[in-house]
Amino acid sequence: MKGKFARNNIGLILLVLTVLLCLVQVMRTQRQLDPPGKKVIRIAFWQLEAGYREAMQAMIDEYQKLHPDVVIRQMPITERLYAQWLNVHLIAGDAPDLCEMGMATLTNTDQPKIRYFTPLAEPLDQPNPYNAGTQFEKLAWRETFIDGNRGQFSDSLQEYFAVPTSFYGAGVYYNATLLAAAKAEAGIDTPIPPRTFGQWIEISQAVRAYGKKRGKNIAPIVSCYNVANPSFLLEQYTVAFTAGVEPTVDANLDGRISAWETYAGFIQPNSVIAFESERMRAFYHTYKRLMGEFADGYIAMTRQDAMFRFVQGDAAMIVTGSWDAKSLSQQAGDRFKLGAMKYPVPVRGDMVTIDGQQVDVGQFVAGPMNSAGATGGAGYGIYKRSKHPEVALDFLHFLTSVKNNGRFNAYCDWAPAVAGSELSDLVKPFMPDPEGYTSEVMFDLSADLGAVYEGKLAQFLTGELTYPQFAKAMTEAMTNPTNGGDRAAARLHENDRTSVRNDERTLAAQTALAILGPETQGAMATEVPLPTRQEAAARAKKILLQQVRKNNGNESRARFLDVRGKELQVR
Amino acid sequence: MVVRRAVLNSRRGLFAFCIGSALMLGSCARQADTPEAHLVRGTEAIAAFDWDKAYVEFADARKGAEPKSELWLKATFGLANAAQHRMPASRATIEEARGLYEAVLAVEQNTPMAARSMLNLGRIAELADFFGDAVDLEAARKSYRGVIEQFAGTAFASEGTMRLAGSYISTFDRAETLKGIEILETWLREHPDEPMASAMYQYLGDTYFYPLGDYPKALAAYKQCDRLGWTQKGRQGGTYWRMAVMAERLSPPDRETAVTFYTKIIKETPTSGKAYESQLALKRLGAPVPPIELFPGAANMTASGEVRP
Repeated sequence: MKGKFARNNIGLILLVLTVLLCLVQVMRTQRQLDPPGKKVIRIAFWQLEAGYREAMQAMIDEYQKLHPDVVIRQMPITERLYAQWLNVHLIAGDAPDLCEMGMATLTNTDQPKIRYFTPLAEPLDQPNPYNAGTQFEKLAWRETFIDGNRGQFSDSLQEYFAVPTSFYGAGVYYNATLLAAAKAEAGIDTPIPPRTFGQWIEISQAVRAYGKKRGKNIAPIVSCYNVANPSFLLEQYTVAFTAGVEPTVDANLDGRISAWETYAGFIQPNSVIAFESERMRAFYHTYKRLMGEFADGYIAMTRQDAMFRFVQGDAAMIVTGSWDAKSLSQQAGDRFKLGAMKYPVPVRGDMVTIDGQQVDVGQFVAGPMNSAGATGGAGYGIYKRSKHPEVALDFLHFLTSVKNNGRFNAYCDWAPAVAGSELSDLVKPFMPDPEGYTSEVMFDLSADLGAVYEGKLAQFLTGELTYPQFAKAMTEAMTNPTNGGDRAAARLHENDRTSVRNDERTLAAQTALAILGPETQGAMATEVPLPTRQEAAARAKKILLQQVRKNNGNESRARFLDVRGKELQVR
Repeated sequence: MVVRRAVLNSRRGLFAFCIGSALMLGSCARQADTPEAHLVRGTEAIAAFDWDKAYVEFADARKGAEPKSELWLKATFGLANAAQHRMPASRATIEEARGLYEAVLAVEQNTPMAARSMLNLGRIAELADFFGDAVDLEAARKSYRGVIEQFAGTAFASEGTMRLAGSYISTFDRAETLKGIEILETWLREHPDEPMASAMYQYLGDTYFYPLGDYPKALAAYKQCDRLGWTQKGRQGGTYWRMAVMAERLSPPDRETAVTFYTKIIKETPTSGKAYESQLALKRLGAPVPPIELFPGAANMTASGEVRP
């Protein structure tokens, strides 16, 4: 009987044992992840560039030494997954305490942002306690950032939801050893790094000749990103060549050339921005001339290919950003000296061949694009459901103190977000320079026109289209009655109207809180603190003005009528 | 037998435990289900822009509240806001919101909630909330005028005035625009230094600039804003640029104003992107050129990475 009982129940016993074992394992893991008596904070980001995780861990280790009751765990997530991963966790209610903002929709758009992240205006108005004893001891935390934390401010919500930890800039890294050798062999006196477009072309030609002499295909320049993308390298040259038309094209005198103003300027007779105009011909031919110094197949080259060619010494210069400093310097090692520079633009006397004629393209250039509007990046927000929001905030204070932010960024050769922090030599050229221009024409008025522009420009740059063919294709696209500029203008008008309706929603939340919210901070027993009635009313006033000035989105309709002499056709 | 008894006992224990837990949970749930608790959760949902949740919470708060009590009024007002802004908006949701604001107004006449309800009724009339929604400017103006008269001297009346002027200006019809200007100017004559005056002057300046193209009057209005302080501090760089360029384009040019505002761009709004061009403009005008003090620690570097002296 006993034996039968044992036989019958052996499965059950095994099952119970397995469950117990699993339970023990789960409890052990849980204990490791969430040690008793410790406050655990998780910080998630997508920065997997060389050195970043090590830099973050160094900061975490130091913080934990100061606060033995705190455990901080970093959660590096590949950028391919970050957006989906974070969105899911935010919705599920178990997101990390500190999240890198951006990329994920729920961290980018106003309404989810206010739902999931802690407003930071109030702590940003107070000094950072970790700046005690420094020049920033009494300065508001917000003012200690190079950009005054403008980049993390939401205009429509009149709130901050993150603080930046690094600063980014785009530019060019160069193999200084290779450039010096090529220069010496060519017997030229071009400075290294080159300062002007002409010098850039000169040193590039020297590199090509240097490689050829050794039977090697050394590309003067490679790019990590699409060179026909209007918001990357192309933008630098668009600003340089078209900022000068701002006084003619900027109808509302706000110091910018909007998409609508580009179109309105473009359709004028003898337009200064017509593709046949001298200025625009000079612009596109100059850019094509520059592309002539890029590696073969540069249009399709991936970031990995570009990095590989550069670190192998098969390319002399690489167009990328400050975020690659550490990766590049590590890979360059002792093999070559790495340098960094900004994009050189043409100056008077820089000649480019256009239709067989040598043209001084510098005459059309106002100057380089400035970075006065540059803002800090790698911003971290505090998840509203964090169990220890005070610790999360304290760690942000620690990470962005003048001393630690410099050390953190120097560790990974990134640019610091906090003023007065130390700079590594490799990121110095990427720090913002307010000298230069910002206005530029934009032919990507709509998604349709943007796709045509990028495609046709790539064809022109690679020689598949001649300039007259490119100009004709673009002019036809811009004036196409179905999908051209008129249609884009209608879409811009629809966007204006939608923006007014969105403002209405944001405004309604503030005006309702000004009546239903707590009279004083904490007077209402809520899960997360709400703004006081007074704070909500102050925000509402700013949003009200912002919305009223949009005139229900009707200005775009009125301006269309002024310029086109006909009503805007809204579908 | 022993085993059986133990099992039975444990079953009874389990049963008692379940009953106890249910009672406890029930009492907790009852506590959390009070109209007051729903009202707080509804308010929290508004702060989180969760209009759907706000709608449910305010509806529950309203159901449990004594009709026409303060709690009921707050719940009705919150519910009206939630109905107005739930997505997707439809004729039904907007009509429901309108009905709820009117229900508030049937009980309250002189409170902030009444003023806001009237303003919101105006907004419903003025904006197209869903596809095919007709804009009714006359109905909107009637609501705004009601607020101006009934709440004279309050911030609600100022807001109503701005909304009323906006309902004319946003038509971009010249005659209507002039009516809007008249409303703004009348209010500003009577309240030149009130908290909303700067915002009103800015809107007045915008309107004189476009569609009216009256640069001297636009400049005069913007100068008043500058005197009073900008509503969106730090964001006035674009307007400073507009002022300086307008001043230069006047016939004869107003050099002094141009110099003043180019200088302000450099000193007060260097992040507007126009500081360098303002320096060039000041050089052209033969005026002193202040340095750009932006990006401390970075601004002393040139484009090629050299450190400036």
